[in-house]
Amino acid sequence: MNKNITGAELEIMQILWREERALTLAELRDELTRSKLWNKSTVQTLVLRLRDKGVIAPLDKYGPAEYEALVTEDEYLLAEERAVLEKFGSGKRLAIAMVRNGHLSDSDIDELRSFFTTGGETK
Amino acid sequence: MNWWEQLSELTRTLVIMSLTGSVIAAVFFLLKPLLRNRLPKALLYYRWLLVIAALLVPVPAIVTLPVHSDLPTISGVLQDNLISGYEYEHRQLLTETGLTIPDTAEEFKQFEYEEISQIINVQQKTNNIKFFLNWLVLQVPLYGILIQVINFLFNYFRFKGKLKTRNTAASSYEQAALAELSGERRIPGLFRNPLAGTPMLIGVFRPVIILPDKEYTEEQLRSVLLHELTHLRRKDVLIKWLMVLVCSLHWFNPVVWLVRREIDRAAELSCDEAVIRSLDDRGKRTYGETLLYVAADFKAPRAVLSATMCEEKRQLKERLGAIMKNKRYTKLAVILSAILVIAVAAAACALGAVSNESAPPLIPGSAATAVASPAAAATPVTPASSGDVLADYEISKSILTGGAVKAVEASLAGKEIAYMAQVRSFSLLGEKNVTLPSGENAAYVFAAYRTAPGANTYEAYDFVLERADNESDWEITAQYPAEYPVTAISKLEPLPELTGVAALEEYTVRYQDKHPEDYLARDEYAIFRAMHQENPGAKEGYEYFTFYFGLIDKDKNIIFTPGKFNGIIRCENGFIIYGNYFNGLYEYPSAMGLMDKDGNVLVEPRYHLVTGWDAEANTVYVWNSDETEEILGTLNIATGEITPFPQEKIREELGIPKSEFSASPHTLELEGKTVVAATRNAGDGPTEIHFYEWDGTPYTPKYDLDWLGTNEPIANGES
Repeated sequence: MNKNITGAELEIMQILWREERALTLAELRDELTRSKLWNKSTVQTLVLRLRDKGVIAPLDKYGPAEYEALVTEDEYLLAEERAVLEKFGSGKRLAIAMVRNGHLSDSDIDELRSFFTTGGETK
Repeated sequence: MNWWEQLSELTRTLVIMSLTGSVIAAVFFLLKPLLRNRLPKALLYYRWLLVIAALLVPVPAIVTLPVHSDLPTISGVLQDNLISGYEYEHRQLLTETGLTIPDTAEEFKQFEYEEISQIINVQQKTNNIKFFLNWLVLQVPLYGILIQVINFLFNYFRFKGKLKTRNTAASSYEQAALAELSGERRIPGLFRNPLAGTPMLIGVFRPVIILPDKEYTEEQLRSVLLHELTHLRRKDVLIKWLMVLVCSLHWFNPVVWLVRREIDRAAELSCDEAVIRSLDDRGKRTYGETLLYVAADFKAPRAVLSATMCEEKRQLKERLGAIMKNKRYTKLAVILSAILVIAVAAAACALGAVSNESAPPLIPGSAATAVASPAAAATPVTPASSGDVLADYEISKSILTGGAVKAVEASLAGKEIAYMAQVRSFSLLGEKNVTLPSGENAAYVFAAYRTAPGANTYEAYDFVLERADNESDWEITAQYPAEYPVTAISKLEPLPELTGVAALEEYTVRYQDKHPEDYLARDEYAIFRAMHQENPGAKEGYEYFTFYFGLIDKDKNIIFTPGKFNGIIRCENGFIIYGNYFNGLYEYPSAMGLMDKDGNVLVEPRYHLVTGWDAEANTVYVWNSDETEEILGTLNIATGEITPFPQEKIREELGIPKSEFSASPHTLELEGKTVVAATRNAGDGPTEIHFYEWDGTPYTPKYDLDWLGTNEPIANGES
């Protein structure tokens, strides 16, 4: 869940979380160039980067793109906490987890599920 | 330098444990493809306990050699178990150098003790950086353990503490389900936690189950709880902790870390197996689907290396496969497979034991030097492998001159002789009123043999041999059990490949130092002795040898001309040298001199005693080398001038008549100081002792000297 949101990106996320609605690039730029004296292109770069990370997404509608947060503030904070917890990895290994580590993608899970339900027919 | 010898006992034991455990683990790993689907998972899991045991329980690799003596020792004579091999070797050495041989055991012990304390002094003084670094590097395994333990504990408590902050109590419905599944057993704590990615069991003394903040159906909840309760029942957390201990101890061994991963894996498979045993087909399917549900919820961030993904996937696939197949094993199959695993483990243990035995010899020269050093006489000795017996014996035999050895060999036929030496006399027997034959047709041989082939206990005898004349055969006329308990056999180090020393080509050369590598490693010289047969091709029993002593560096360069001196003994800061001194009337073969540790002769051998080397003032205290044995005083090495000791003045001050007065050097062992003891002994009363510095000022010892006794004159202070 940790998408590695950097400090500057977090500023944008916080505006989105505070406003609790989708914002256009222009709205975000206005807000940030005023409060942070950021360069216009900086805001654009950061927004596009967040979009690429899959943390925000433009609403599917006509007009200037409005970006909404795909991750809630709570989810983000939890992910941060988990990341901190991950640092104590060797301590974690002393707990018995039902499934180890969890580095599986959706397609992996699907593949395993079909493997299980078909009784190991698929290799 | 022989690093195996340099390791501490603890490190050595650790390395041997690591090797044994690794060998067993390697066998298990190799057999894994063969056993995987044929044995119950529980067996595949618990067999690793054998590896854990091998890694945690020290093997009896360090064997203490039992003291062996048939005769009761004379009380008060022998308090410590000083090794006799050492004594005999020194007797031999002394015979060869023509030095005064201490006659009683006590004197010998005193002699030996002083030499040892000199060696220890030298070692203590050499705490230079190089020596420290050397020591540090060799201790690294032990520091590593400390670091590992701290690392584990720190991470564990930080992890647990961090997790705990977000714990919330599970719902009463979930608690009830847990209580029902726990049955009679103690119910562990149950919490929900948003930080947890998967259900987990944590804690040794008060274990708790932690569930992720995620909805589970009733069936899924039961599966999850059953899984965790099974882990709890089987004390898998304890095994995890044992593995932490193992990994901390053997952190340097990569096999151990592989074992840890394998155990984690086997534990899950074994746990699944135990859970599904009580489930019907539907239950099994639910259980497998729950695993997938949990895994799906615990997904990876996008940017994770595919290598790990494959590994996790492979593991989960193996578990799911095992759940589907769920073999049932008949009792017979289980018993048979258990026997198989035990047999494999036993074979592996045997292999491990072999690796134990061969471990030291794998390291160059270690077995060859696995003999007791004098300072370590009372400490356990790493046994040399039995293959060295002959080498030991050949070396010791080679310094024997007499054909008498043949007769002793014949009488010990069938025994594994470990050491043999020709000795001059049995001092202790004299106290038992045994009259020993004398003359050239009498010989004494000390021989030690192993109580069993390859054993590290020895039986030792002193043999008295006689022959009618030069041409007759030697016959054993008496045989006495050795007075000294033989706890270890020492021997001289063979010195391989001397280079660039033509003069030594026809000599048999050995190190005299017990641990020459210690000195060579510090760029100091080791003492060697070279043996030369003066009448090559002589009939056996008529060989005649001469011995020479010198110094040698680590490149085998001899810096000292052999033959110049009769003997070299290590002392503080350098060496005491022995040589011949002719005073115009008599030749003194045991005159003493002094050489620094670079081989420069500071004082030519001409004094009876050289002692108390004051390196700062560059002075030594000397004693006259003639019958008078009078104390000369303080010799300035640089100028050669002697400041006389004011003996006569002191005698007059004390008011002691000349006939009752004597003065001699005396070493105050506890204070590390050589002073002069001026004594009055009228022959019938207690000895009166006064100590003086070498410049004549009175000296009061700091320690109680009551033990010196009152009746024994200490006039002969060659101590």
